[in-house]
Amino acid sequence: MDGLTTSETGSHFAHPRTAARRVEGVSDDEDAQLMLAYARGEMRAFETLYSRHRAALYRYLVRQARDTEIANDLFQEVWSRVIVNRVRYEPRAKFRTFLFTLAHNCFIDHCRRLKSRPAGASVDEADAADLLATDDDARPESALERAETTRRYRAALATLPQEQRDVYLLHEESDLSLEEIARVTGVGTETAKSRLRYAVGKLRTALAVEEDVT
Amino acid sequence: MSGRDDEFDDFLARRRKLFRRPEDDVLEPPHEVDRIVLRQAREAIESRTDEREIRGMAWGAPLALAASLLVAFTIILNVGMTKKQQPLAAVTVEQVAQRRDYPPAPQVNIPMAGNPASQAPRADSAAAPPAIADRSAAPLVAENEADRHAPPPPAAPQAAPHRSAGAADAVTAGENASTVIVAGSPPSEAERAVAKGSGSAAWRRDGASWLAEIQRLRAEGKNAEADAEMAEYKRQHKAYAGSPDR
Repeated sequence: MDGLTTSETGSHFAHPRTAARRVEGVSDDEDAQLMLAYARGEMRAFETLYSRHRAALYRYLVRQARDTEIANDLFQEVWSRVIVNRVRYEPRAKFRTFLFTLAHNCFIDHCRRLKSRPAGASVDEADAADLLATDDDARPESALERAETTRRYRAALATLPQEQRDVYLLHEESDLSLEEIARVTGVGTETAKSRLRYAVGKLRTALAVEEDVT
Repeated sequence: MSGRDDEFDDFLARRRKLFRRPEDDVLEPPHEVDRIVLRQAREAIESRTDEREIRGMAWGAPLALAASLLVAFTIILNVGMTKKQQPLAAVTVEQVAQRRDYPPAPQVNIPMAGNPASQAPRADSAAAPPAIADRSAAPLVAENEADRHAPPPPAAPQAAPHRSAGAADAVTAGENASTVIVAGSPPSEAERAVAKGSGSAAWRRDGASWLAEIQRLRAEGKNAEADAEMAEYKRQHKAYAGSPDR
């Protein structure tokens, strides 16, 4: 990638956890202002915006698609839509809501293109870092145990219906409220809440059963 | 079940996480993807700038073309109007000598203090309406044969000069070369002859010939015609009439 500055290499982006903490403290108005600044042609504003939301968006897409290659494509497609729609962007809602709405729509379009996707498809091991927060999380775990927990979590997540998984991942990765999730997914707030409740219950049950089995 | 509901409410309120990621969570887009996205973003705003420039040029080109066409049209129109207003040709003697009828003007009788006769209304002037005749009322030179045989215009009888002896005093002091105010009886035969022949006599074109013709008329005893010709000659040749030796 000749001709790219160091800011384009991604090396300046903060660690996802650090970025996540920073996002929580960032006002959404600031995100909107950054988007408007980018629409006026300020590249630095886009870089800031991108660094804030790239990790959360990527995790959402990876766990939705369960394939890093597909997630990479979807990730680029989402940001392409952000770039294309920069002129028409109006800060009516949080930028994060706008971003994850685009992501949700991109994934829906992807599913429509594929028509159907076999449940429990291969899960990329590159993102095998999530752990289940259990009551005994203070207990030291070996890497093997953590990997096993992650596998079970992914498997349970994969068994969720698409709508429930969508709502759950939006809640987990985007930090959106239920009202905002409902807006992103195009359903009512109660519907979104119900889907989220089912998703959490199924995950807990699946993990508990597997833990019992093991 | 209520315990799970409480857990779920805590989960919703983010007071308690059911699942958490470890500190070493490294799930993030590859750097290559970052580069692609950032490059796309940069190219988008750069192309946007180019589009604005191109759009400005695309908007300015028709405007410049329209302005050029407007200026060219204006110049062409102006040149055409100027050509129409130019004179047809140089003025020739024949054109100057052409008969021209002027509209009649009201008679103005200026009472003269030293001439009581002029103050009294004249019977003949009351009987015959005043007429205005210019010096070309009797055409001097015919332009061609068609003019020569053409019937006189309707205004010709009124415009014909009346130079009877009684009407001589009616000529105002302000008589000039173009307008003569005449009141009186119809013109004499000699004057009619002059008027009739004025348009056809070739010798009138030359002053010397005209004077020779007048002398010939006097020699033949046609004094009336000679006087009329002389008067007409004087009227045509004001320098001759106004010279101190005359």
